[in-house]
Amino acid sequence: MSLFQSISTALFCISVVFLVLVLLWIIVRLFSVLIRRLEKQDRAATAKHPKS
Amino acid sequence: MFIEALIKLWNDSGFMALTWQSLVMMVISGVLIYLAIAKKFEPLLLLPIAFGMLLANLPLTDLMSEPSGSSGVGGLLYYLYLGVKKGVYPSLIFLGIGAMTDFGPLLARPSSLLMGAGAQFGIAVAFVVSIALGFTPSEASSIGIIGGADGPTAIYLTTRLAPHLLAPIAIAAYSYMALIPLIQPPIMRLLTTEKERKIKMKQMRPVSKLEKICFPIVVSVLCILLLPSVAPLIGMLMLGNLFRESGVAERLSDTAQNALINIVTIFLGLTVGATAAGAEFLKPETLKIIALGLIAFMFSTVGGLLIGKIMCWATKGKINPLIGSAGVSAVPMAARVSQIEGQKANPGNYLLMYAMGPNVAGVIGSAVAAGILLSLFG
Repeated sequence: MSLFQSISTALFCISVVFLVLVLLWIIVRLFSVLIRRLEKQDRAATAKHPKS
Repeated sequence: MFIEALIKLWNDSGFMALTWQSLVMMVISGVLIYLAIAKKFEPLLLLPIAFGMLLANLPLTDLMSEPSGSSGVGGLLYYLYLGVKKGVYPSLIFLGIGAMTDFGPLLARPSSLLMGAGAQFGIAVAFVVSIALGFTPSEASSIGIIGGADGPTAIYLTTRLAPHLLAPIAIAAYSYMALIPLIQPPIMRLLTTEKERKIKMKQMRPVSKLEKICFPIVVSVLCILLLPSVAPLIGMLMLGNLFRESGVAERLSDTAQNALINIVTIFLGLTVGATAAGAEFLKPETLKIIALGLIAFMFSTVGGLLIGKIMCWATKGKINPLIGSAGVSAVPMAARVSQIEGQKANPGNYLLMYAMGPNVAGVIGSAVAAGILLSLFG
């Protein structure tokens, strides 16, 4: 493998690592927002109609 | 007759079969045992590795020999080594690590994932330098992964891409992990200003149980769909974490993070050490690998710190860049180093919890990097 090829392979590798972890960041953020919203609604519903 | 028998006994003994290589390796194993016991450098791993090295270099033991002859029985360490060779032990260790890890800090601040990605930079640098030094792409990948600062990942990738380099790579990876408190601080001080090191970070938001339960499932699905080759590592890491966070599998979680990981660590350390037979280990390549491992570690620290600095700038000083260096996996030692350096600059600074985010992100990052290299060269 030539030096140029090795540099391009290394750049490709680090770019994919970034891509996967950025995707993960976005998904974690999305499901965190979703879960917090659901939990908030649940809490509000419980406060309105407390279990006797 | 008695004298003849004694002479025969002496001639058949291991003393007659000792070579200079095995003697040198026995001295090296002695040094590693000293470092593990007296200096407490990663003793849980260094001790079995060093003793395995000692056993493998005692001649005529056949501990690592394959089954042969009429009995068809191989050496004890040969059978234990199958778990390394087939990639079973690194995955089981990941199961234990998953059960021990709290991903809460990462969930509270998912941008930490960027620092975990940046801290894989050393893998890329070591890969390029290794190729320039004449290693094949498979060997260069295995050497580069030392920069991920993750022992099981390094072992897993090396057994698949360059099994003949397993001993020097595993020993370099674990030795540098033990030396993190010496390697990282000078780089951290060099790349950050006093003002940056003094930054106090805001309290993190609380993370709900449901988020913690969903996280391992989401990560497994996403990472394994994108890179199927990381399934054994990420799958086991996340299964262990699900045991922990579900709250309904305490016995399984307890076994994974205590008994199982301890048993596997003994087998892994012992057999990795046993691969360091003098004739194979004492080559110029070993010195090159050890030097390249250090380069990989240093550049991974640099990568994490640079992303930390960019995030510090982007958030107008809300993030202390010192936590970036914790992106090099090595849980929790790298996070502790960030904490110590932060406190040196500002005694009221407690960075440990903030550094745990990039730290656990680094574990995922290095597994992802290993998966990419495996896809390219496996």
